[in-house]
Amino acid sequence: MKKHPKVSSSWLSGWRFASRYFGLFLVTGLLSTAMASLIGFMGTRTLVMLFGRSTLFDDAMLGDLGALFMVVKDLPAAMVGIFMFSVTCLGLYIVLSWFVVAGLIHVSIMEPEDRRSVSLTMGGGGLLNLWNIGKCAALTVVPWIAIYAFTISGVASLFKSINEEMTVWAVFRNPVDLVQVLLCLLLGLVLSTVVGFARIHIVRFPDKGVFFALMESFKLVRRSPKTLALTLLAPMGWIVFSGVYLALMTAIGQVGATSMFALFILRVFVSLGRHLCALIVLIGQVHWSNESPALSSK
Amino acid sequence: MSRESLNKNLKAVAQGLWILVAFIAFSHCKSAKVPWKAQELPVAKDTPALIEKGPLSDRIANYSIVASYDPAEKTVNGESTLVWKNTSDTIVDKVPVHLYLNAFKSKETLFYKETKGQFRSDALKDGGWGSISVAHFKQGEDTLEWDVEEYNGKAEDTLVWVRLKTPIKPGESLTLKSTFTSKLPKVYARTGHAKDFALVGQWFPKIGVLEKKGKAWTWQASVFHGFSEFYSDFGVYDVTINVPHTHVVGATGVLVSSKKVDETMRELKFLAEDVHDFAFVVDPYLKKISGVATVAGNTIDVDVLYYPKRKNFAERHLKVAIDTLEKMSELYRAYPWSSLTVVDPPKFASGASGMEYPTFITTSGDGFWTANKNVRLPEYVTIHEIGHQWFQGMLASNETQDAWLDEGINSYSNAVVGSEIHEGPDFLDRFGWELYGSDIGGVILGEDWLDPIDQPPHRFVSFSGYGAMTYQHASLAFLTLERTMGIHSFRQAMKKYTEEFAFKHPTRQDLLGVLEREMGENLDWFFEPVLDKRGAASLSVKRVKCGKEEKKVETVTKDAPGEVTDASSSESPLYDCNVLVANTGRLALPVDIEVTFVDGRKETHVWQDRGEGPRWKKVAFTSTSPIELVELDPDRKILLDKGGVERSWKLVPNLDSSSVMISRVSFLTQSLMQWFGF
Repeated sequence: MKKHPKVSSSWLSGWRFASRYFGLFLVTGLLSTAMASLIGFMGTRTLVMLFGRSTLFDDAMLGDLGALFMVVKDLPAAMVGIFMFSVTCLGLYIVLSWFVVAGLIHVSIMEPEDRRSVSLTMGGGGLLNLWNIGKCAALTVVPWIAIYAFTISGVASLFKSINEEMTVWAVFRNPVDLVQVLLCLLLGLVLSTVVGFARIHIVRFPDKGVFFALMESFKLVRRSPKTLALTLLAPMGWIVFSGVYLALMTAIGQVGATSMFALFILRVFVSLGRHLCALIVLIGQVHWSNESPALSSK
Repeated sequence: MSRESLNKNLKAVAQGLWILVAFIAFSHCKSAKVPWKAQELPVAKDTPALIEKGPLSDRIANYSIVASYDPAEKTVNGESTLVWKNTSDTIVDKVPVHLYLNAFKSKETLFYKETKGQFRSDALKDGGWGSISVAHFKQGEDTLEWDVEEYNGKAEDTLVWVRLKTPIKPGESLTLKSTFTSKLPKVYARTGHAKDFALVGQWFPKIGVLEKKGKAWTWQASVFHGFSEFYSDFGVYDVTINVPHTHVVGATGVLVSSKKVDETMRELKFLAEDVHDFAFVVDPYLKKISGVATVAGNTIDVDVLYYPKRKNFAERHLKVAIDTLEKMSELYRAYPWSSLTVVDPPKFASGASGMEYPTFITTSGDGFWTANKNVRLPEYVTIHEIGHQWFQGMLASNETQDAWLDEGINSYSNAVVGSEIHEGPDFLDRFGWELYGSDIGGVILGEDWLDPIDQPPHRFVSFSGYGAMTYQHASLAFLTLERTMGIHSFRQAMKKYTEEFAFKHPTRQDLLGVLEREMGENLDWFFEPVLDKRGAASLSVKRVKCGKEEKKVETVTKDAPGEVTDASSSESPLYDCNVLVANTGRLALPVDIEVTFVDGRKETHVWQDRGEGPRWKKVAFTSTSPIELVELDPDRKILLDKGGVERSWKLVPNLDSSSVMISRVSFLTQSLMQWFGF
């Protein structure tokens, strides 16, 4: 009987994939940068049109919270418009990311050699499986909403306790909230892992159906809890790289062309770092499902 | 998965759970209730209650109260002797007496209905009711009868009228004795108990104020409305409190004697002179730190009573309390009492936070998120409550009718004091963000902005509407007037007002009379729209045009900004520019119009708007370069303004600001994309 692969070997396979298909890694990684820059540019242009001739806007951007509140209060409809535009772009990016994920899984399974084959495999895999991966997302949207809602309410309660008791140890004095948050985080990790393996299943066996893929994936995760550790790299990477950006952002400063350019470069690296973690997890899951005896449909 | 590995996993999960349970149990052990310990008998002070020569007031209502606090029942049993002087020219045959705690006795009270059982973040619920029951009122040996006040056809026993057996003639005094039991509510609307903590406020029968309105003397006494505060005469309070020896007490006035009653009880006697109220706090866990403020060569003892583990915050409160006492004394009038007690209630009693009594306040703002000293919420609250020692403690306006006279002026003085004692913003200076307390007023300007400032609190549309107008809007109005009329002269006028009306009950007319006299100007143009008509300015730059003098080519307009083109062949052409500005708000006041030209030259015009002419002003300029920037009120004198972003106009948008925005928006959206997407 085949043994479960190691988490580290799965991560390593993800790393190798990123090295081997470096161009693909770069292009897919920079997609979010490009799209975020577009949103930032459009949003900022709108704001400049609305407020750019006001000194109050300058004060707001230089850290005057009172001025910021006034700016936001002055044109709430414009703010809602910018927010809705951002949410729409975010939605579009999520759909685009289904395409990217499916394509990357396809590439990792097919292992094409030359650049043209990589493009065809990536595009073909993405297009062929976009619908099913979308269905997979739709099937899991309700549990995701529940998990986020309970996490947020639990975290809010814990924050309140921390504030009132003035110590972070207060979280342990509120076991109900703590357990709620931990449970939600665990469920989130489980759901994320299940969805990850389900996507691989969908790409591998497109005719077996999304529900079937989710069930099979769930079985795999249940039988191999180590897959949770495998998946954990992506959110951890996201948190670490975000923290690095926030720390360096203060050091670099935010005013002036040089600072702006430095921040842009930093954003690109941070984005690629987070993307690398996500890619390692994705390809690691492909590696795991290849090596694992758990999937009954193999 | 094999049975063996399943068992192994289950065992690991069980072990993890045990560790979690043990940790939680350990944490709870640490936070278990600490048994009460006997406290040291506090030492009475040999300092007088006043550091100035008294009396400072008419001392009309003087109380001698002996009370006993029962921590188990959360009750105060008391006997009060009120000596009230009839300074009117009318005979008094009945007196109004407030029984404020009855506001908390059921869902049927006016206070409950007006607040809907919710005051700030606290809810008044079943099981948490409070009340005051009076066994009897006596005049000499005569037991008196009383009538309950009716409000909208319904009995409201937060106010009763005691019928005197012997009417009190002008110049005579009434001695009114009462025996009462006050049951404290679960802490609510800044009185009551939570766990072992109790703030005992509005707890004894309190007489109204007999005032001359026009030609007639009338009692100023009111049932307890939601959001409303209090009004009473100055006097001497001689209060003896019996408490368990395990409890710490902080109170209005100075401790003049302390002694053991028996092994478990002690008697503490407090004396306060020229005050109009008395409150105390009692709790077995309170700690104390002390400091001294120096005012006009006299020292004032400042005590901060705080909960364990909050010493850092107590030290912050103490420092700002001393600074505020000294600064307010310098700005307005010397603090006359010899002590000030600041109570920093525990979080579980947050309903007791943020309240002022003479020489005694409760503060708030402590928390994990305010632990950094540049998050100045704790200081902000302490400054505000101490400010009330002047605008309420000394200048005791009728809070039930004109709350803005103390809350509004006090909020204004907070901004002044905050800016004087802090090196930066008085509210927040952290992570590159700055926030002034007065900005908060600007932000909420317009929220529930449906009522004028000058009206009784219970008539406002909502609590937020009351807060916005009475505190913030009024404060912005005074800051605006100060900056418009001149900071020095305005502050001198406010100082005069404070000195003249300290230990009196000033009204709107008193305040305006002093300000107009001292500033040498009738201020109706300002106060009428601001106080009675929800007035604020609404400044905007409507149009900016510049053309070459020769050819009159319109090159730049606000609505359709374009490139500045050199349409003439002249080497140094003259530009013929004009600027149209407007104030479409209800408040008209002088506005500085500052114009900066591309060559760096600046010109300032003052639009002397007093509301008599058109609501717009057109200013023409001739210049060698076009206009780069038009700013209305560049020195931010006019805070009471709804104009916002339209107060200025720039030829070229500032790209630096846009870049900051693009950077933040991009990072945020990209982070969300990578979290929710791939």
